[in-house]
Amino acid sequence: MLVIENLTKKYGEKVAVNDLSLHIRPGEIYGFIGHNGAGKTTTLKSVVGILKFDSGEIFIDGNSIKDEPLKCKEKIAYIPDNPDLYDYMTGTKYLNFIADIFKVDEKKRREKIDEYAEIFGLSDDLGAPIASYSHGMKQKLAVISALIHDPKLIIMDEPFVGLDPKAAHTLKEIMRKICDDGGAIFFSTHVLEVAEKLCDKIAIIKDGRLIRSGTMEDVKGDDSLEEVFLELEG
Amino acid sequence: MVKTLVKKQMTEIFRSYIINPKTNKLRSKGSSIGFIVLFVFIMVVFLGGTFGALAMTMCGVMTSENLIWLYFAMFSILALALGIFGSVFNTYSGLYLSKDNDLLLAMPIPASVIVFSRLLSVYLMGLMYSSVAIVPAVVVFFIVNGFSLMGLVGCITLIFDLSVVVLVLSCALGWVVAKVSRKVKNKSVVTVVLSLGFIGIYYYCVYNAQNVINDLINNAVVYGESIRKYAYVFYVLGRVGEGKLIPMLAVTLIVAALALLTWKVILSSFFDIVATSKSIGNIKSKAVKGNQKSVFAALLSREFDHFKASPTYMLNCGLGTLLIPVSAVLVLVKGNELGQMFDNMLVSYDSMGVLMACVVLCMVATMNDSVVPSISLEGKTLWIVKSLPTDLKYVLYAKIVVQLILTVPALLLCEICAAIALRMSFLQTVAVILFPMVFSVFYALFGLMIGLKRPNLTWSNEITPIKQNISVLIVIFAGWGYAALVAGGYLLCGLFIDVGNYLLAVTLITAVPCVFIYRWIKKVGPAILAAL
Repeated sequence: MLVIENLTKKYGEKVAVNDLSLHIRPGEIYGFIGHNGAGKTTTLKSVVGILKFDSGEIFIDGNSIKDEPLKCKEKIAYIPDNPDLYDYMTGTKYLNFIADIFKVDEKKRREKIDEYAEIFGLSDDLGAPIASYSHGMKQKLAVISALIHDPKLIIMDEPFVGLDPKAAHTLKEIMRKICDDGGAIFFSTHVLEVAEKLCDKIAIIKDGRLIRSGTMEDVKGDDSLEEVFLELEG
Repeated sequence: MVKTLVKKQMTEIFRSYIINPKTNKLRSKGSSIGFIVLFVFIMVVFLGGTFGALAMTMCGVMTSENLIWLYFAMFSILALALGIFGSVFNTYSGLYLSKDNDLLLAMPIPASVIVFSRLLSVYLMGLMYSSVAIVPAVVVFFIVNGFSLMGLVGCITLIFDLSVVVLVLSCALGWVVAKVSRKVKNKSVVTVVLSLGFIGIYYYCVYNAQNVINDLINNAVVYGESIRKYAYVFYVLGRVGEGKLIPMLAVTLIVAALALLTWKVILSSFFDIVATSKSIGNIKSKAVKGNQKSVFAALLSREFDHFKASPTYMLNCGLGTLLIPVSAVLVLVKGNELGQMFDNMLVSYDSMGVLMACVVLCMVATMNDSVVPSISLEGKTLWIVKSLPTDLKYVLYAKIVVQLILTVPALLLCEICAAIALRMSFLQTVAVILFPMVFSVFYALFGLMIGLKRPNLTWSNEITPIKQNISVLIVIFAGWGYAALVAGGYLLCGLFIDVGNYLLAVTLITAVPCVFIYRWIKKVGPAILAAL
């Protein structure tokens, strides 16, 4: 579903991501962990096509993000670490805008919005301007907007930040279901317990380089993920 | 702490002069000085020059009638009007809607320091605008009457007092808007209606200013007596300008008391208003209606939503939508008279009135420049369109189309009115319809190009990209300059060509850069947007 080959991204002289390669298959929840500034967000932004990279290739469902960005973007959804949404829209307008861009028909979008708004407890607030939303509500809205077009691959940057425990639990269930239905999820997190319980595979990045990746068992063996992470990060 | 916040506030105001918005790096000293000199030139030469000329007309007469106080009183009124007009729209959004209000309130910073730093920028804006009117009057006063120490003290006191009065009145209006708007559902509409009412009064005064001034000069003694009797406050202000000690002390004390009262009111209500401006209130959720739109319609709707939601955006970048139809009514009523006036001014030229109608229409159309700050206004939400499966050129086209929708229908109405009022021939009518249309397209395309080349995505208040944006100035002056060039061009070749054919030729010439800029936006624009 997602193939990253020798990805390198520099900001001036600083190498943010250095020769990173990863393969994510349908049905996998792939966790991406690393310290602040390790290159996680840069990698995720490169994958969704909002950041140009210097070398390497990224393929989404066989399409290159460099050569066929629109085809790639049709299949993915992105939830950034800080959900800056359109403050001037209401929640409903925002969701309809996203649905229009993804060409989701009226019946389906109504079903999806009703379903996910109910699940995340946002139904009563969709008529309010996004400017009045809390961080958590914006995060929930960003999650709903990511789900209404049934993406094959979801890229999430710190998706649990700002969510209340119930919403975080619901999101984990939804993530599992999407992958059970053949989708794939690539997400970054600092919450190692979540990564340990939720992910099928995990990648650890340090100073832009991938230092370990694979199934949870391959990466951590008999230790806890926290112990392995702290040891690798040194 | 105060110094830090004031520095931050000043950096935001003068950001575009110090930092290159394209690279987000510090400009070279030469470049910064160049931009500042350009700004000072515009303020001093264009605006200051206008008021200086007016002062030259009035000062001699008032001096000979021994009515210097009336001279200063009239310029005080003009300075107050200009100062309030220039800063009132910043006050509400600058004080209460800054994005960093929450951040600053969460820090161990007293609310008084935050309010002080915000008010300081409102004060400086008011000082700048009021000075544009009163300083030329002071200079002319000294030229005509010679220098005196008390005169200088009086003029400095007057400038200071006026700037504080501007601050007080701007804050009072901003506070009223904030208080009213938090009680109602559609805040943007209330703000816009209140502001438009204010603008209407302002333009009414401006429209009648010349008649009033002429009348005043001819009947200075009579009006002087009336003002002294019925508007004593302006009489006292005039006496301050003259350098009279008692009025100086009295006015300064009253102004200080008013400033203190304003400070107390703004400070005591600041937290309350900031906190309420974000609350959800009693909005009932409606059932989700999902009328499917095409991708372009969705992008267009997004642009309109942004425009409609921001009074600052509407008032600063869409005022033409209202003023063009107003111009249409004016053209119907006064068009023929004005046309004949222009025809009589330059009798050697064919239908000068038709040309001037066209040029003035283009200049009024330049008031709609929503496309210029639209890229910068994407701000931190730019990631959304970048991550969506849509070609970014349609995002850019939507911005252009919004400006054209806001401008072209109103312009067409005005053109038809002009054609009727000036009894134009068929060729002239076609030319007068086509040229402003093509000009509007050129203006929108050029505006987007400049907006793309000079984006600023890191603002904390949308006033920054809308008002404190050199790109907007560049585009407006380019629009005016082009319209003036068209008028100047006719003076050069109008003896050999009739106005209809001239305007059609200019229309064709204007279409050429449109094609080039459109191609640039189509090819280069999406790449620039993607790289931001």
